[in-house]
Order: sequence, then structure tokens, then C-alpha cells
Amino acid sequence: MSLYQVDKLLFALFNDLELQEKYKQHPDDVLKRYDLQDFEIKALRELNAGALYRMGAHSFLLWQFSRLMDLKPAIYFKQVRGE
Amino acid sequence: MGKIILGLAAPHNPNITSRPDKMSPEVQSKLDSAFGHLKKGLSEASPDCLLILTSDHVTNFFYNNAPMFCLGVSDTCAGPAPKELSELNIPRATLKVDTTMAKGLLHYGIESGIDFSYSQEMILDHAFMVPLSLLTPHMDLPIVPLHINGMLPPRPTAARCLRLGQQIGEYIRNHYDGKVAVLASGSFSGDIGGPKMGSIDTKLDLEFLDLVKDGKGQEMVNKATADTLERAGVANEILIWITLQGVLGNLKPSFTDYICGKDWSTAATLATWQPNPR
Repeated sequence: MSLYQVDKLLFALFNDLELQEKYKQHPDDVLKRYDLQDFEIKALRELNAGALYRMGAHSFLLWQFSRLMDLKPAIYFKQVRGE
Repeated sequence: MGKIILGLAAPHNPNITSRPDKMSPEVQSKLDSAFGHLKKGLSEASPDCLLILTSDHVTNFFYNNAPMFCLGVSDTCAGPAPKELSELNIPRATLKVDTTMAKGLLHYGIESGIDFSYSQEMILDHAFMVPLSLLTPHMDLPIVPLHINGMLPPRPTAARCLRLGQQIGEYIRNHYDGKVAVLASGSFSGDIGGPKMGSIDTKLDLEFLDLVKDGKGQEMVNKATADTLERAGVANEILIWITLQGVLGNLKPSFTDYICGKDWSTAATLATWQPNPR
């Protein structure tokens, strides 16, 4: 069930411009609104796309999250491909 | 009796409008030419309504409420979504919806075995707006938006999409009064955000394009196995093309083009079908 909460956060961040700004400034305030487990929060806070992908996060939403957070595409793909 | 007077298929890769400067002059020229061909066909056909088949890109729908097929039935629909406005280079527009068709199709579907979902608040994200901005830039053609779930698993089967298209065709021919153009918006393959992103599966694309050229919907369904859809990537837009083929029957396209842009995640395939050639 928890993975749903990861995707739910990514969906909200993808679509809600105000939430995007809040997350960039105070990510913990946003994260606590979701029923996330510690390892999920850790992966989100560390921008660990590889871990999030392997948990099963929706790849399209994960890509949009990486763009929002200015993760370099080369790093994103390296992580998602497990290289 | 309604008439299906034109079929169109085009990509909605946001790079087409957001980063045209990143295209090579050759790709830019090919895309301009192909979109120009479709735009001219649409203008000459002068339909009363443009039915748009595509998959919402996680703008309207998410796992909390994920319909397989959803019709926009409000008097108007607007797009692009606010999140896309800064990048897409498409001005926000409000388009008239042909509610006679949208609601007629909704009821026809319920009576004949396709239980459409419907929305009074469908946002037209880039999957709708990129081809619309290039094919009808004045945004003055009444539309009917139909979301076919490709992004949120589980998805409808290819066979179901073919049947959906056939029923749409039956509705237009037997229960709608007007001339209709139908646009499929999508690419054959593309794994946005997935591990295959960045490498276009040209082999799969061209195999599927051959089936499109043959115009045989059932063969397209046979090709679109779970394995093929998995290989094609996250968006499953082959399903959109199959739905359009269902609408058109076993009609062969009069025009196709396949354009690979460097650094793109998807190739651009464009096509035109003319059910009543002049």
C-alpha cells in the first residue's frame, strides 16, 4: 500500500505547481502528509531514482520528479538502469 | 447518417513544440512537411467535429480513479495543463466540445457494451494539445476528447481497443449527423522515464508501421501482445492506433511518414486515411 503513497506524492508534485514550490523549499513538510515508510522517504530525499524505480514507482511520474528536482538525465538513467 | 471523412495519426512528443530549436534542420523540415500534409487534409475535409483518441498523461487520472475509456462531455475543454504552459510553447486555449457526439457516444456505448466513463472537467494535456496546435492552430474546430488508458496499468487489451473503435464507427455512421475526422495521438514505442528511454525501438516501430500500411486491425491486435506492449514502453500508444483502425475498418492509409529525431525518446509517425477520396 505504501508504494501507492509514493506514486500519490509524485502525481501531486507533477500536477500541483504550489506543491512543487513547497516541496523544493520544505520537503519534509510535504512528505509528512503522506503515509510513507522510512526507506521511501530516504530514497525521495536522496533523489535515488534507482531505488524508487526498483520499488515500483511509476516510471513516467518518476521521470517528471527527477526533472522537477533538476536531477541530471545522465544520472537518472544510470540509476534506473542499475549501472 | 454521419460520415467519417478523415483519419489522422500524429505524435505528441512535447519536444516538437517545446524544443524545436533542438531539432536538426532535416528533422524540422520533415516534421513541418508531414504535419503540413495532415493540416491541409483536415482543412480540406472541413469536418464538423474532430474526435481525438489519446491517453491522458497522468493529468486527469491517477490510481485513485483510473478509467479505461473516458469521454470529455463538458461544453468546452481547455489545455494545456497549467504545469505544461511554461515549457510547451502552446498558448492556453478553450475548445468547444461537440457535446451531441460526446454524449451520444456515451449513451450508445452504454447500450452496446462499452461502459465509458465521462468527465465534465477533462483537461487537455500535451497528448491532445501538441497535435491540435499543429493541425488546427486556431483551435476553432469542435472536438470530442476520448481518453484511452495507456499509462496506468492494467490497461485495456488491444482486442478491446479494436472493438471500441468499431463501435465508435458504428455510432458515427448510424447515429450521428455530421462529418467527422478522427485523430489518433501517439507513438508506437517510447519508454518515458523507463530504462529504455532514449533508444528508439525502430525495429518494432517499422514492423508496426507495416501493419498500419496494410490496414488490417486484427493483425495489429495479433501483434500487440503483452510482450510487444511491454517492449513498446510505458505509454502503450499502439492501443490508440488500433482504436483508430477499428473506427476506420480495414482501410489503408493514403499517407504515412516515419521521422526519427536525434535525442528524442520516441519517433514521430504520421498518417492520413481518406475513407471517401475525392
